[in-house]
Amino acid sequence: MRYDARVPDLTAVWLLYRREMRTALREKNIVVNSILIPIFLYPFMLWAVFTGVMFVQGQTEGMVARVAVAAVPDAHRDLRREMEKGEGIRLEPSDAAVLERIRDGSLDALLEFLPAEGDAARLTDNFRARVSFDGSKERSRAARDRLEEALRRYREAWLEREAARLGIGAEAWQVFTVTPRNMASGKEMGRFILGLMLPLFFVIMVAVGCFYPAIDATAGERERSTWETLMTVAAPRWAIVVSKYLVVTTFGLLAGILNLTAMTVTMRPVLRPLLERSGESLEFAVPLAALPVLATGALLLAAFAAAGMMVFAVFARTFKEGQSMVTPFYMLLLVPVMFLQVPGLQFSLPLALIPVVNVTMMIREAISGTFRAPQIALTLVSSAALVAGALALATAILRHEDVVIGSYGGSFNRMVKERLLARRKGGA
Amino acid sequence: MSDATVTVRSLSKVFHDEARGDVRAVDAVDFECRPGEIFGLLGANGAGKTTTLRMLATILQPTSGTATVMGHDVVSEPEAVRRNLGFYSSTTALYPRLTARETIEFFARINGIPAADVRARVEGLVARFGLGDYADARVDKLSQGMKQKVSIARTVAHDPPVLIFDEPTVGLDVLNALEMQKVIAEFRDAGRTIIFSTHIMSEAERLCSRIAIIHRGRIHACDTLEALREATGKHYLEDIFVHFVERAEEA
Amino acid sequence: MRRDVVTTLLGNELRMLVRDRRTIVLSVLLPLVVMPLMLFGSRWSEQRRERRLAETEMSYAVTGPHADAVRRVLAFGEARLASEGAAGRARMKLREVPPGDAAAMLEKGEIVFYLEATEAAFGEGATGPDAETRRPGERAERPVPGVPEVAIVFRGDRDESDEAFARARALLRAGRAEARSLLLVERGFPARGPDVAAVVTRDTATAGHVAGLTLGRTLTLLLLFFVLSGGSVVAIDALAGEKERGTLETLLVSAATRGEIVAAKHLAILAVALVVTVIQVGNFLLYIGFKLIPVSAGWAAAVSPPVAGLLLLLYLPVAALVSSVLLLVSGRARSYKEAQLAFFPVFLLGILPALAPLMPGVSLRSAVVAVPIANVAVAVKEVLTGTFDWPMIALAWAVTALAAAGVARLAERALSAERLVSAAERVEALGGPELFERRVARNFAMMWVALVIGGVWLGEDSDIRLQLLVNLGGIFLLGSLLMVRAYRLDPRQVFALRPVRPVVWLAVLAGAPAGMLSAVGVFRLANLVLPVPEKMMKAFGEALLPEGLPLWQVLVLLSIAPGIFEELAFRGTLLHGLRRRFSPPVLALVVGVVFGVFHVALFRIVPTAFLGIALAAVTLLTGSIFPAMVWHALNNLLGLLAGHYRWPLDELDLDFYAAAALVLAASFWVLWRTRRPYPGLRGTADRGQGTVDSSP
Repeated sequence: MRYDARVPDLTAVWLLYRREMRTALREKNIVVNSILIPIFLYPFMLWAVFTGVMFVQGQTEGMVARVAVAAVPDAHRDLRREMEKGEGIRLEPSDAAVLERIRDGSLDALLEFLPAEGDAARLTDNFRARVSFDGSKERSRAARDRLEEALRRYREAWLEREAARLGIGAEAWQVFTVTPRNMASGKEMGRFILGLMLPLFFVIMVAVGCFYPAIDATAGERERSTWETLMTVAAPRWAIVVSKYLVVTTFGLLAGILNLTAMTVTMRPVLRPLLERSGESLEFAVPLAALPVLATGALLLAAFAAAGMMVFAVFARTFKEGQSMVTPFYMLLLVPVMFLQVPGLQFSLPLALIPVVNVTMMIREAISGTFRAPQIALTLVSSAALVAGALALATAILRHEDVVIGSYGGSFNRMVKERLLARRKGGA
Repeated sequence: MSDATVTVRSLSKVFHDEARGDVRAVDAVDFECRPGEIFGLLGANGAGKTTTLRMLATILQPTSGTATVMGHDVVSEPEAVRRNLGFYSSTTALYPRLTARETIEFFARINGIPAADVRARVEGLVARFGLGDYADARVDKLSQGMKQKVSIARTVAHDPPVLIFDEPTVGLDVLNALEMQKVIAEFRDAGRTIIFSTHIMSEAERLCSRIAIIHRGRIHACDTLEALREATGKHYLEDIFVHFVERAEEA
Repeated sequence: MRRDVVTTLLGNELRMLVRDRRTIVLSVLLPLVVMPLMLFGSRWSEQRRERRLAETEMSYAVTGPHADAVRRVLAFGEARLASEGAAGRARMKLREVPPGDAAAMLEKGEIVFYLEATEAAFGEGATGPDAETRRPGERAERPVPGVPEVAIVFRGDRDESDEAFARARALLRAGRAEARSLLLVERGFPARGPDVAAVVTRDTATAGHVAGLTLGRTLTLLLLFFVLSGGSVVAIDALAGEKERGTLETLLVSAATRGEIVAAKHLAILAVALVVTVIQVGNFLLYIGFKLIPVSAGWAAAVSPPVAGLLLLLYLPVAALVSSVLLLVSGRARSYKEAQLAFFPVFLLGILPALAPLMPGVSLRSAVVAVPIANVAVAVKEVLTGTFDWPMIALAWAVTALAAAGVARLAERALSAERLVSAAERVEALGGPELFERRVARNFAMMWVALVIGGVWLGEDSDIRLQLLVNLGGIFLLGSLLMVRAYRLDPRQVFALRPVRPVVWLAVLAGAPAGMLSAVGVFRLANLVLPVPEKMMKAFGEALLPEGLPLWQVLVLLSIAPGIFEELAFRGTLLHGLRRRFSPPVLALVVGVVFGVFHVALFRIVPTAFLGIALAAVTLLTGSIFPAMVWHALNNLLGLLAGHYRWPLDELDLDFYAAAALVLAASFWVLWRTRRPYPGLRGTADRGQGTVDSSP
């Protein structure tokens, strides 16, 4: 019996795709970089940073400022009592070596009372407080801040007393009260913060997610010398290439989406201590309406990253070589992201033409609930064109048999120089 | 025997494997080698040939037993052992980014050839192995046969009295394999001690002065080919080998 | 070690490195190009934002019956802030527009905020929970009856609005202070408000030292980053890459000793790391020249030539230590890829000690001097701020240098580890106990993730009974049972369900309280290095002692249940799974630390790990899990009682902890004398290959 029925092309792609996915998912490097890192890295770093910040804050608050006081005027005994009442300041008598002690760190600050100057001197018992501190020491700076705050409170209380003495009523003295009223709800604030952070991580993670699969599917395959085995199967060459491309895109997409989900879920518990201190009630949830935009954006980004990386990786014969060939592209992909670090950048039409930036901006706006149709349309069109361009380049490269077989010894540069450009010149 | 350059006395090696527990790769092996002879270690893959030779080359530490090369103990004087030893195997690769000449020079110097003598030595080896035109090309650009020559030159760069060839013909084509056999025979004629491991019977038949049949870490026979034929009543080494292996399996 | 051999080896390494064009491009040139691009990018957008905020005229509106008064106050505020010379947001241009429907205008973005001045409303109804924003460290002002209330209505999810809000609030506050001052002056008060009890500050530090603080806090971090990224490229190739190519074996059969090989490779990594660092520092200086990185004028004064020389000297052992660690990781890996995978965690961990100078008030005269890298980092900060504590600086240098030498020794030993050199074929176990032993670490990692995720989902406010049920029953017990089932293990073996000698119980009864006190002592010792803020401790103490549960429930939930289930998981499953991987002391240590890590809170790790180590040791010595269960339950019980009756266990004199430690030692001595060791432990015969395969 002969089996000469042809396997339909799409079935071949599907079979190849499944085979590739299976091997990729069993490769430690890919699992770590395309799945585990997107899930855990940024939530972990976020947690670490916030824990660290909280810790340092707690430390600073828990520190007792050691302050030497010189000659407190009798009229201001209250000030002394006021300062000693709190937990943060411990007063010591001043001595001759006080400045040296501040320098060597055994004392944090010196508080001196000087006579008031000018008109202010007409107020009985008025004074100027001089706080000496060492600006190169955190403890000393914290001590200065505490002293200033204590003195500010003392001044306000003094003025209030004087006002009452002069017959100014409490209500008149208050003048008015200030109430901040944020019209953005906790949900909207949450989206705003998510919109600032997520798109950046998202681009990075899509790139990281594509990186190893792209190398493994090409250079890795050559290193293991399974490439040749693959070339002998009865599926058309293009089906092999397409299936590999789909695998890399899948991993980029996967990494991006996993990262987005992990970040959204962990944001609240991670930020909880900070939120509790500030009393803000934020809710971190990506609006449902943004999901189609996010998915499209992720797909475009992954498709572009995958195409770009494979164009470079296809020339590599070893894993290591693949890495060094793809890294420049990977880094270039991340450069635009640096332009987006600050809030307030408007998603203008020209911006929608810049690759990567446009998708990032589109995702940022979608997360915070803004959808501008012309920008989105332009972004989709220009990104799709970019992907098409990258794929066309890949096709042009893979038309060369020796590249496909793996016997071509050059790099992307040499290929462009010697073959693609030369041929065009020859044709013209 | 006083003229032995390599002596091995009840040498054993136990590997600890996470899955299988303790594995006795080499089990109380004894043999001696003399100058001008090729001592063959014949065994199937995993019989313990490579482990034995690696212990002789001080890459691995013996679990028990002793071995000496030119009177130096492999455990207590590993550097002296390696100075007297050239080790060639299919797993000892060359640095791809060095040229042939640089490779030989590096190994000559590192193995203790005085700086003043290195140049002459390197030139001698380049001429000896006909590397001339290729001496300044990078190793990764050389053909397989050339690489093999550089590899051998690297092995003998410091003129060691003892040479170990661990399955040197694995992966070589017929011509290169024959060339390798020829070179080994030449080294023997020059009076070096050669230990040679293989699982290819014809090679052993052709080259070895004495043959040790090793199976599951134990040496089951060790003698000249003639003596082995006599002992077993069989002519072909293949049959002799099977004879001993079967006897070992029965025991 | 022969100098000429090392030189030859080093020359060879460097020659090959220089010929590896791609590596050079990738690790040196590419960052040189990409770094300025990235810096330029972030600087450009930052400047753009500042310019936009400064130049764009932003509209606001004032509404309500007291609008005119508010306008007057704003004018006061403007004047006062101008006289104080407040910089920054002062440049923001604000323009009042006539209020139509202010709320709608804000919504549409026509105005960035509006001020609504009304009589204060009574009660809390005026401001919903969503509508209130407080910044950290600020007390909200309470509306006062009879006093107008000015609401600043803005949208926090818009950058301009948020910035303008801050400006408006500053203006209002300054305006109010000015208004009060005027009120007083009108009634004949002799001084203006700000002149009463005025404060002047005097910074006794030089500008150089102040700049030195900024520099000193981050310099080590930056440097470590360069050394790590530059060195790692070479390091991976140096051992793991050579192993993969098979050239390592060629090198090992040459007459060079392993020490010489490691020394040469170490020097090569060090050289490259230093070159990369120098290039990067030069690169940075270039950006500073081009004003891509803003610096304060004091920096030049902070780093005088002698100080720069001292810094170089101080950083030498740091670079050496990093190189040793990189070499060790590379030596432990079997292939290029494996090394790469291992480098990532090394990177994260390696950065950690360099964060020490970010903690305020950590002086070199503390336990930090014993921590490699962290000590140098703190020393550098002190030097840059003008404190030269020579004996401690020397000590820090020596400690880090010793660590570097020690790790280099380990790397040398990694070359002798046979598992790595011979790359013997490994048999994949398909199931059963062998696979269990290989997978146990991975499975516990998954359990840890489940624990963390479970904690996140449940939230801290959920019923403690539910939390415990999920953790103890759902993760520890179920996880252990699943493993027993999946790998077809014998529960009696895994959980070490064996009888013990009666005298063991005496040791446990004495040991548990002593162990607990010792743990508190250890915790206080750890506190000397890394003090835990008191507030955190208090909050934690409250969380641990749930109010409103009957005593018996508390006892069952927090003493007996953890005693049983946590022991089954850690001293049962985990210890059994790892028993052949480590020698017994290391095994106890590993099990203890994993136990500590499972108690997620950062500062609990030390005491819980201490308890975990003790429990693992008890199990190993008695060969049974029961003593550990009782010990654990007793330990928790004592903790609960101490919390309940407010015994000041953490404020005792040193003698008490010392006494407790003695009793603990005595208990262990009894356990040792009557030991019935855990079966199947890794023997002492094969200790030579003490390489640890910790990859999960």
